[in-house]
Amino acid sequence: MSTLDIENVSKFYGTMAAVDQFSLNVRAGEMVALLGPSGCGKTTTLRMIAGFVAASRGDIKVSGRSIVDLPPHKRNMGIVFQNYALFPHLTAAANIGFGLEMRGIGRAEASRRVDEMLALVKLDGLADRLPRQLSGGQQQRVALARALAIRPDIVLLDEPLSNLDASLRSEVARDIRILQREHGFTTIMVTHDQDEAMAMGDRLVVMKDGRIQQTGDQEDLYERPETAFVASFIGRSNLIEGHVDGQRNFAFGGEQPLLLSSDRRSGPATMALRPERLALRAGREAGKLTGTVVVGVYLGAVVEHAVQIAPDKRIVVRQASEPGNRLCLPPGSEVSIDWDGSAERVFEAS
Amino acid sequence: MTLAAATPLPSDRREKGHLAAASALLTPATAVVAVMLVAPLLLLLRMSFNRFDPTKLMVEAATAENYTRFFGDAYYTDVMITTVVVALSSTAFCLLFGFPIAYRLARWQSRWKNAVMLLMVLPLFVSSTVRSIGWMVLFSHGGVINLAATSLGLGTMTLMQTTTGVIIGIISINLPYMILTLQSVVEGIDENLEQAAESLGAAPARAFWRIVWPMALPGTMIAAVLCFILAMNAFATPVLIGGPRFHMMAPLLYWEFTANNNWPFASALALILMTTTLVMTVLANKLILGRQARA
Amino acid sequence: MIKNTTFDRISRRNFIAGASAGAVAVPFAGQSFAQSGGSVTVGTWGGDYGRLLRENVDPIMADKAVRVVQDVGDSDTRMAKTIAQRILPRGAVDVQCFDNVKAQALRNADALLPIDPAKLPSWNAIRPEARDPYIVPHIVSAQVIIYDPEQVDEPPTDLDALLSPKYKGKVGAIIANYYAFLMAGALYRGGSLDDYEAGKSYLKDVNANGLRLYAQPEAFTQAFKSKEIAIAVIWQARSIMWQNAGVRIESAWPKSGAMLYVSGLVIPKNAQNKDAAYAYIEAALQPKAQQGFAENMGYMPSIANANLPPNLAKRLELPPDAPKLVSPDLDKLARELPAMSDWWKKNIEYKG
Repeated sequence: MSTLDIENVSKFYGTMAAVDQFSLNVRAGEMVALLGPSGCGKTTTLRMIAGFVAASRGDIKVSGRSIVDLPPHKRNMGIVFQNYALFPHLTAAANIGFGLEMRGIGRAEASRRVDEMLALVKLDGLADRLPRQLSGGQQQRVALARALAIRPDIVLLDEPLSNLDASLRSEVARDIRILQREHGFTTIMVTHDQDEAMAMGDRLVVMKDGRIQQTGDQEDLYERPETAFVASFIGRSNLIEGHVDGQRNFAFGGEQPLLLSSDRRSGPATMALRPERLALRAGREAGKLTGTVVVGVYLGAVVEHAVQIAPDKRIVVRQASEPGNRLCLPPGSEVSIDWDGSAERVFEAS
Repeated sequence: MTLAAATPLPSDRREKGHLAAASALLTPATAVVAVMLVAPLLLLLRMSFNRFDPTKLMVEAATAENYTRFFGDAYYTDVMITTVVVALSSTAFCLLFGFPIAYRLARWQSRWKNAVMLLMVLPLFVSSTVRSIGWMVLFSHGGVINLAATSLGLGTMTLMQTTTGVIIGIISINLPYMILTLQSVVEGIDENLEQAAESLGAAPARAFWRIVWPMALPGTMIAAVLCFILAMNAFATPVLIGGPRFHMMAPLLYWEFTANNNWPFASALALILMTTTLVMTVLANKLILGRQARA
Repeated sequence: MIKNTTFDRISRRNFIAGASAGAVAVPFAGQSFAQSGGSVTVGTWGGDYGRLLRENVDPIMADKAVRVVQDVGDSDTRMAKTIAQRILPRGAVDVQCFDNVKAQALRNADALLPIDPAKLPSWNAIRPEARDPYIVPHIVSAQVIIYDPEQVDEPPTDLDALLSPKYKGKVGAIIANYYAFLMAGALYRGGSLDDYEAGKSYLKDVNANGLRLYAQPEAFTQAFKSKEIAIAVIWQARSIMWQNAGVRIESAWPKSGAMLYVSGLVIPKNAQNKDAAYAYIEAALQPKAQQGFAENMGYMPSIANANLPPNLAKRLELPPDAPKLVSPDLDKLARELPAMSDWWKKNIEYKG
């Protein structure tokens, strides 16, 4: 298995940077998910790795060897396209065998490997079907088998689940994950769906506007977001914009400023609070924040309250429901909200 | 038999209703085609079995003499061979020149694309006669090409009244049709397929031949057939560029019809030309697309 | 004239015919057609001939309140149309302009109305030798040798000049003139316009001498101008017209004689406005109308009393030792013409 090192790669279209100084080191056998909203540069990055887009700057190395000057067909990347890009005029077997044919692998050997791949993706018996005779999930597996058949250095998955029915997604995600773990192929996947990324990646790279926001595992990103964007993009966060005054005062437009858990530099800042890390109590006493319930919703496992904490600010509090104890508070109830210091993230405005 | 099976389901009934409505909508078109296309063809077929008389012109008869005359006279078969050769070679060149242009255009992402597409369509606004006259200016004795060739020391280069000149003229007329058809054919082929092929180790040329070409083949056949039919029936170009000594089928049958008033023979010529075109088209389709299906 | 625009022209002609019917119907609505004088549709060549008809004949018709609509097309097309329509009860065209060979073929096909001299006051003015029961002659010319004096130093005297190795590759012909060319050869080699075999052998020899063919008169004159060709056989009228246009050519009468060209007006059997047709033909025979054609196109008038101005008359005058002017056997020619044109196509054009 190979490593992938992306060093300060940028892509400019005119003066606009689609990808700006992207760096990432992928270990052998690791699966990294590039995550971000559309237009964040994740697909451009994938296409630069594949060779369909030339990097304006920087270097990309596979197992230490630069590949930026290689054309796509010499990069040995196994790509699964978002729409699978199966060759419609070739059977499933011919699709899977295409890369082997291009590599001049003998018929017998190629046929053996195609069978092996068909078995791997559990499509035995469908070898002679044309793509249009296969279901979406089957097509996706053919695409995966085709990419894996060439024994690629790196596997690239472009939105691998987006074309599947919602009901199939988690199952396919798990299958891909298992396959990837078992065979240990170094993989980069691109997705705009944080659940997909969370479910499949060993590590995640969150991108926005062509730049990396944060790289880390699921827990890093969820518990220790480095930017307000990551905090809101990964899971849910209440973002409260305000201003740090003195040392621990955070003015945000509420009745009185919040007292921060630790010292911060003065200046504008954004506080991020996960809804489930907040504690809600009736009454206006012992809390960091006070407010009024706008609405409370009982969702079975959890109860969510929207609380007005300032004339123009509402936050959401989510708590596990405890039968008999934790029911919805009626709108208009005076409440106080408290949290543990570790739940509080404050980002200086950039 | 269950009740459900005996009674059509509502959706079935609706489908039948749609079918009936669709057939009703098709009826006027079918009638127009029958009246405007089939009836004249049948008339043509009937006339081709009539006899020509210099005085009475067309005499009702049931004779095959117009057909035996065509196939028995080397002149007519020569003209047909010339026509087929010109049509085939102009179509081959259209394909050769047209495909790369169409491919580039289809894959081109530029704000100039629409402008360039318009440039492609523009020649179609000028009749083939006018364009042929343009070529006459270029080709003729003392024309631009001849002058250029002479001044470059290439000797005199005569394209006027040559087969090459006629083929060039036909290519210039048919090329936009070829490019426009192929452009939409290529646009219908997902660019990801080529990239998939490349990522699997196919060099661009190989990706083209292995993936794009077989997928484009049916549409390409349509474009080629379109050019072939246009070339088989070319009139203005062979007359204007080919000159009096260059004979192709369409001018020949027009001449039989108007100058000789020999409608029976002209009808036979028309049907022979049409049949040849049709048979060659079907054969090419069978051969090329059939082989692809087997592969 | 470019042949392949004929199809466009057919539809345009139909349009013109339709438009004229509409134009007539509206202003004269409620009036008797005969009282108004109505309209007459004339099938003619475009270009100079059609223009001269409009300039010289139409005003006379306008005085009679008859509206003239031209149906323009080359004579092959109009001939095909006349034949196609001959079985209809009502034809679209009232007067057609053809040469006498085409007129003979149409007569043989029973497509023409016999001319009633009683309806033509000018009948007696027509040169007696040109009178015909089915075609009223309008303009007359004869075949001459034309040459470029810069390339042909010695004025030719007969058709042997076209066979001279001196002019190899320099002999030209307009393809539409093929039968006249063949018959000129027949007269030269066989002594009679009707000896077609002699004519064919002559054409084969000319062809072997590098005969150049032109589809259009314009291309032909251009070839004279660019010195691509030096010598040809053509109607005198055309040579005069081209001389007027500044093409440097001279003409010479062939010793063996010259074939007469007669072009005239015929009435299709099913013409709708026969009276208007006669009126139109009568107008075309008026000296004033004939003068216009003589002056502009170099044709000799078909009437004896044309009163050409002296300089024009001098120009059309035959030389002192008048050449033999002969007419072909029209019936034989009309019958043989399709075979002759086939022969020309295969042996002269194609095997060139």
